[in-house]
Formats: sequence, C-alpha cells, structure tokens
Amino acid sequence: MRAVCWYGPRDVRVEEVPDPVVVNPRDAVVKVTRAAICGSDLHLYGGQVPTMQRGDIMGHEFMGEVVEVGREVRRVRVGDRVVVPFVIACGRCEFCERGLTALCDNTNPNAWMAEELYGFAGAGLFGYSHLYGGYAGGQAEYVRVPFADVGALRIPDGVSDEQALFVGDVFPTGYMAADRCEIRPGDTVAVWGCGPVGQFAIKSAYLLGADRVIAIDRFPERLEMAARDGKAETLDYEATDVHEELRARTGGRGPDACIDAVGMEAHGSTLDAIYDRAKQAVWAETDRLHALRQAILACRKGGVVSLTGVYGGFLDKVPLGAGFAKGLTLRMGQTHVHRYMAPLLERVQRGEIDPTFVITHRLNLADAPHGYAIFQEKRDRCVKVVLTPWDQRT
Amino acid sequence: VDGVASTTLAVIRGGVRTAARRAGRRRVVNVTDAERLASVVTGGALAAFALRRRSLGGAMLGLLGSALVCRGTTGHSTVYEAMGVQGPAAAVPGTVTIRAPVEVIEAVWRDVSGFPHELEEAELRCTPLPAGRGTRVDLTVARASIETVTETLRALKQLAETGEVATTAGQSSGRRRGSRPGRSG
Repeated sequence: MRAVCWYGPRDVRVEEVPDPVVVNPRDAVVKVTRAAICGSDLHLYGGQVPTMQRGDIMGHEFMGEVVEVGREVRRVRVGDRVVVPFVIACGRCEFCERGLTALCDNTNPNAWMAEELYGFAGAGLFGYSHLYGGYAGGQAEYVRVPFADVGALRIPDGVSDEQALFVGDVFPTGYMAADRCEIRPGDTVAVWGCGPVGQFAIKSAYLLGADRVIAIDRFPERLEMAARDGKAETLDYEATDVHEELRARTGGRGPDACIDAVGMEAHGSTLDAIYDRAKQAVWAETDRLHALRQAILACRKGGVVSLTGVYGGFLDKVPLGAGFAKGLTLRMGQTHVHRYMAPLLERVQRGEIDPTFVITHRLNLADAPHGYAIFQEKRDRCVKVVLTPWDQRT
Repeated sequence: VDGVASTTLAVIRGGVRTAARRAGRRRVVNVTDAERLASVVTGGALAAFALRRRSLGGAMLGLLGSALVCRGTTGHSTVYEAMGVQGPAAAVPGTVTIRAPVEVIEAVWRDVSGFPHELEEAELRCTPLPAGRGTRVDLTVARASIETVTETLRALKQLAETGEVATTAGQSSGRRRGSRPGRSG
C-alpha cells in the first residue's frame, strides 16, 4: 500500500510499504477513505518531537471502512464505516474506566521511554513518534487499529466522511479545551491560535454557553474564518497589545477563561518570543510559550487557563507567580477523545455543527508532501488539509 | 483468562528480551558487600600512597588504586564478568496495581511464569485493595535487572486487564520494502 512516511525534518514522502495485518486479537484493519494533516503533525514535520525514526508512517486523524477484525473484536464488523480516535485506549484500565482515555495504562509498548521522561506513561497514539508507542499512522491506504472495539465509532447514515473525520481529533480537542473552562452564562472566552483546534474551541465555547469569544491570531484568513464561521470577535496580536486590548474589551476584568490552542511553537513578535526562539534553537529550552504567558497574564482573577496546544518538554519564564496571585486554575493534557466522540457525532448528525468548515485543501494522498509544506508555511491560505487515499482525482 | 495464546507469549518474551538488552547497557553488581568495602579501603590507601611518589611506578599504583575504588563504589568487576562470576543474589522488587481480581492475576501468572529463566526465582504476592481499586501486585525476582521486573509486571497487567500485550511488532513502515505483496496490488 501507499503511506506517508517520515524521513527527517521537513522530509515526508509517499512510499510503497507492506499492508498492515491483524496482530492482536482486539485489532482491526481499516481501509482509510479520509485522513487529515493535524497541526500537531507539524511538530513531527518540523523535527521538534524526538524518537521519530526514518520510515515511520504519519497520521492520527483518519476514518474509513473496516476490512478485517481480530477474533476478540465484537462491536465493529467488516464493512462498517468508522471514525477512529487518535488516542489508543484499552477501555479496561483504571484511567479508561474514569473516562481519561488519553492516560490509558496499557497501550504504549514503549511506556518505559515516557516513564523516563515524564515519570508515568500515557496512552499510545497513532503515528506520533516512538515515545507515544511507535504505532503506524493513518495517512495511508490501510491502518491497523488496536483495541478497535473501544475506539472505532460507527458513522450513521446521513453523516458524510468529511463531516465525521474531525470527530476523531480536532473537534473533540477543541471541545475539551472549552469544556475544561467551566463556562457559565455571560462568560467571555479568549482563544489563542485560530488553527483548526482553535476554530473548534471557538465553536465549542459557544455550544457550551459562552456569551462572547475573542479569537487571537495573526493570519488574516484564520481570523476571517473565526469571525465568519465561528462568530468570534477577532484580535490580531501583531497589530495590538493583546493584554491591554483584552482588558479594554472586557470592561477591565479580563476574559473568564483563556484557551491556549497554540502550544510549544508559539510565534510572537515581542522580546520574550525572540528569547524563546533563540533558546529553542540551541535546545536550552524545548518549548516556546509566548501564547501561554499572555494567557496567564490576561486571564481574570480566579479564571481558568486551558492548555490544548501540545507541550513536550521544559518551559522557561512561566509567570507562575501571576497564576498564583490571581488564583488561576490551569488545565491541560491530551484529549480524552473517546468520551466526546459519540455526543459530538450526534451534534453533527443533528446539524448543530458542520465540521467541514475548516477544510481549505483536499488533496490526493500522493500530494501529502505538498500539503505538509503549505500547512507548515501557512501558504495558500491553508488551514486544514484532507487527504483522500483512494480518490484518483487530485 | 483461559490460556494465553503462544503469539502473546512470544511478544512477552520479546519484551523481556528488549528489557534485558536495555539493562545490559547498565553494569550489574557482581561483587559482594564485604569485597566492595575492602576494594574501596585498599584502593584509597594505594592512591594516597601513590600521590606522594612522583614517579612512573607511583602513577601506576595511583591508577590501580582508582580502579579498585571504582570497583568498590559501583560493585561491578570487569574481571568477574569475564570469568562468569555472578554476584550476590540481590532480590529485585517491583510493584504494579492491576484492575482485576487476585484469581485472574494468579491464573495469568501461572500461564506466563517459567520463562524466561530469569523469572524462575520469582515471588508474586497479590493484595486486594479497597473500594474497587483492584489488586496491588508485588513481584520479587532474584538476580534480575530492574527492567526485566518492570516489563514483566507491565505484561502481566496488560494480559490481566486487556487480554493482550500492546505491541507494534510486525507493523508496516517505510524502512523495509517489498517484503509482502500489497493489498492494493
């Protein structure tokens, strides 16, 4: 089969590789009909995530048709159209039973690596480095799905492939970011980063009852999307002082909750951002956190700062004193996708939201390297790329 | 759990082998405590004596002294390793919490124990936890690496909780080419 393989920083290629097979009794093999390039794939593409190996198959946001199941798989059958969560969860450990599937005890074959780095290991992820299990990803014609009963969710008739695709990652990720904000009627939520996760965080904040959402970015096409599709107020951080502007727009009290949908590669134009970039370049610091600093400083007293952008390592100059002085609640972590999938798919089915609004590019799998390049460089007004492995039209 | 498939056993063996390889890079203690103390004292005295003699012989004595101190502090002797001398049977403990009843865990353990040979001198103790928190499992293995104990407990937990051991063995990648004909032909 053909698959998008990683060969080094900014070097992904579509290669002919062996087809996946059922290895464990609870595995399934899925024929991929749609796969997306996720913003977090760009951390791998850029070479910021260690433990990638040449030839690793990329992709953790995908859906398709079940073509083979292991002998212990009961809930899904061959022929089912399914969307697959990017987190691999066993469904039976303590954390899965609490609904914290991203913290699953049992799905990372390289748990020892994560234990050395983080103290404890979370769940394995599709196509996201050997630190997260080294599983082959879904930007391919076929993919092996471990614990298929727990993850793969059948898509009801009337919901298209593209509408269901994002229920496996960016929609729940944005939704959970907003869910953690404990939004109450009248609340104002500020969202840093208007990539796909930020766009879904904006939509989700409204779905959860926010009165106003303020979207912060610098790319006009992303701010336009946030305003047009998300109905958010927008703020260009290169044109204004974010902190003062947020104060002014919230009657001097600051947003009730702040969502950081940027993560470890924050771009900024102020002195601290340049300092971070320099330190990251020499590996004195692994993560750049301009957005996080602004969020902590801008948030109202007693508010919530919700981190959904990915952080991987060590941070420097985190204004923890401001967080402490203001009694903030910081919430973070990988998305517990499983618990959000069914309810969000129902919202899609009921027509409350059409997730396809974020798609700007539809490419054949063969053109994935081009898709990565334009997404990375924010060229061609690119916000979200969807790959179709089996469609011969490009 | 009625019987574990041979494929799963193979996976565990692979996992334990990987653990052993990782452990191999770390030096194993093969010198007894009394010998270690003697090495540090003798080595230290030799080095101190050598420091007063500024000659080639003094330098040699100094090197020998430092090597002995190293032997004592790390507990690893390269000579013993070459001679195949094994150290004191230090018991390596490990613990894990498993969300399964004691009977299930013991049944899985009976299925997997007996290999690799490192696990022959293993002792497993199960303690039920209150309020549905599962079972605390303590494993002590004589003369094993900490990695072997950790990975064995991990495999035991995965089998007891999920019925299989997570693996990426045999999955596809762009590293090897054309080993099997593709489905897409």
